[in-house]
Amino acid sequence: MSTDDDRGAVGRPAAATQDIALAAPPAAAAARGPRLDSADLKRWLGAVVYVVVAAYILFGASAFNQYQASLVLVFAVAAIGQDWLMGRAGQISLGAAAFMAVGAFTTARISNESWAVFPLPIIISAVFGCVLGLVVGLTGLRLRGLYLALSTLALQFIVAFAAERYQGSNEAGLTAAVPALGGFKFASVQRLNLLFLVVLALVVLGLGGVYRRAPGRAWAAIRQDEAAAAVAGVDVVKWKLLAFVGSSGIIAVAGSLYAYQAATVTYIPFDISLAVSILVMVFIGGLGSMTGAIIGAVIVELLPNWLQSITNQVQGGSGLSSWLQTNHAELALAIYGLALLLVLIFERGGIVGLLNRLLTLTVRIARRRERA
Amino acid sequence: MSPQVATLITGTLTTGAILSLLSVGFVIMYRATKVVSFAQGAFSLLGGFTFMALTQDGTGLWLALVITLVVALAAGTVTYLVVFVRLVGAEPFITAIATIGLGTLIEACAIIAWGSGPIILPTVISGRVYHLTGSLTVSVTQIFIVVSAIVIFAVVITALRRTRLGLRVQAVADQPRLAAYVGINVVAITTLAWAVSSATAAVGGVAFLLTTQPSPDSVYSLGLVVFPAILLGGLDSVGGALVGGILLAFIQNLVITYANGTWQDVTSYGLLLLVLLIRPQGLFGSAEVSRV
Repeated sequence: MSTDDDRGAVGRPAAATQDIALAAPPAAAAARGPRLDSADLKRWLGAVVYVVVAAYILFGASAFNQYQASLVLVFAVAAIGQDWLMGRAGQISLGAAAFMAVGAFTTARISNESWAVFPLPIIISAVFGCVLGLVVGLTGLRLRGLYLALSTLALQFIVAFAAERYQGSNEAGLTAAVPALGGFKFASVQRLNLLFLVVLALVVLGLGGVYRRAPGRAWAAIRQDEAAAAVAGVDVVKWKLLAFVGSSGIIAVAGSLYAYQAATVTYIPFDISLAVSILVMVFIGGLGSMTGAIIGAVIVELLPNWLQSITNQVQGGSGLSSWLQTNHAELALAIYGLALLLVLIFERGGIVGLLNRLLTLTVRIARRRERA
Repeated sequence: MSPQVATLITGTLTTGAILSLLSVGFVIMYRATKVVSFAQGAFSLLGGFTFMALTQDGTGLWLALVITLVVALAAGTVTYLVVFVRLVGAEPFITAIATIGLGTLIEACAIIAWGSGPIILPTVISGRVYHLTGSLTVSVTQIFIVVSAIVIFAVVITALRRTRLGLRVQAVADQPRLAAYVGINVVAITTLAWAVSSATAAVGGVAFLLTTQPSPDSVYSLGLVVFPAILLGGLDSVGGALVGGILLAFIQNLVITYANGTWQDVTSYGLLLLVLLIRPQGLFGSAEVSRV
């Protein structure tokens, strides 16, 4: 990225801007929490959990669970992208479904071309997502807060319309070619899961590195107070645009993976409620945390099926069973809505925030015991 | 007058009435609480379902309408006192997301209670159609919808401009803390704003059900479809809500009449983008610090 962009929000020369942004110490991270839950420890723990879960998904899970896992993985990537914009840079967006649609349609369209060797479709989808993100980001520079949310809502309706037009009379939708790396075809759900796990790991590792360094601090500053960030020398325009571009690119990648997962792409799944459910994932799991985004994706994707599976366990033919059978999807929606409200009222950090609290509490109790 | 122009006029008036009713509820709430609500459609759905249940049980039009209004007022009150009173002072970002959660919760519960099929009202209003000049016809339903919108707007505007209560509402809207210092019960006023906002949305929902037999989802979507109208009129202008609603309805009906129904949403939202970029405060809204 160019550093000679001297149109910083306060008109400072870029060199000074960079200096201050880079030098800002991660004070909040260091000050919070006891020493036991150091970031390193959490990262190792995360890696271990990831490997164990990945092994289960690839080798231990039933066919149905593998299918479920593939959806969870796709939406985990989308939620991480959404979190970049909302949790890190503090920009509200309802455009996730639109960006996913862009990725999915791009992949379905070009994966059949002979020149588009895998993983080119994923990369081109990401680029298209980035470009659209740049366009939205440019309007986002003029619009703040909720006006921005409304412009992303407009994006949703415009993309949905374009996708419907593009699909035209083709009711069945577009078919994505089976991705193949050399001779290795990702033809089964198991193999696709391998691909998805790799992409998710790359995204988490890449973004984790970015968040820990200067850009992460710049976004944190913008999230807390745009004006103050500008005064402190953060180039608000540049970092906001970057968050838009990057986040949209990641969500488009999720859309691309979705195209491979579903094999056929229609405009129908990419409606406003998909955008809302990705937003719900981010908030329930924990805004500003990639672990949170993944947890959110797991919950939102699995809850409806879990509710439905209860029907098999309660006595067949009973009132509750048939009630659940007909209403499990709506019940899941009601639970998301309620959970979103509870998170906003009681614990803005979502499930990850709760876990952190629990950890802090445990450590404090342990310390007190030690002293006594 | 060609039949196309005739349907354009009546269509604009009825759709305009419905959109204005949802917009004015939004504006009332936005002014009093600065909450940008994505949940207006949920209150329309709640009102619509209540009205449907009552009329299916044989309740007459007027009684059903009154009971629906009471239920909607109660729903708005409860929502504020249970949920949003805890979010006072939170950033608009948070409260807006909360309305999304609320809307999802209400919609899901309403569908569990009443089903997801199209909402069909029994005949509650005479199906009579009056032939005016040429091909211009108007049905009793259309008259009813437009008149109720006019009555509600008249009541809201008079109450805001001419009564002590209205003055208090304005005070809370402009300076909640100062309003509290001079002895205004801010919580009561805010609760009232939520209640009234929910009630106007409910009437809008009932009006929508009278014109078509929509799915619950499309009633809920009214709350999103209405945003171009709200923004066109200005987020905080009651009069703007009326003008914005009618303007949007006119454009939508223009598209439906002369182009194709599928272009409706995209035109509306294209309009919204245009307004956002050119004049974010809308036609009548007060210019805020909405741009960087």
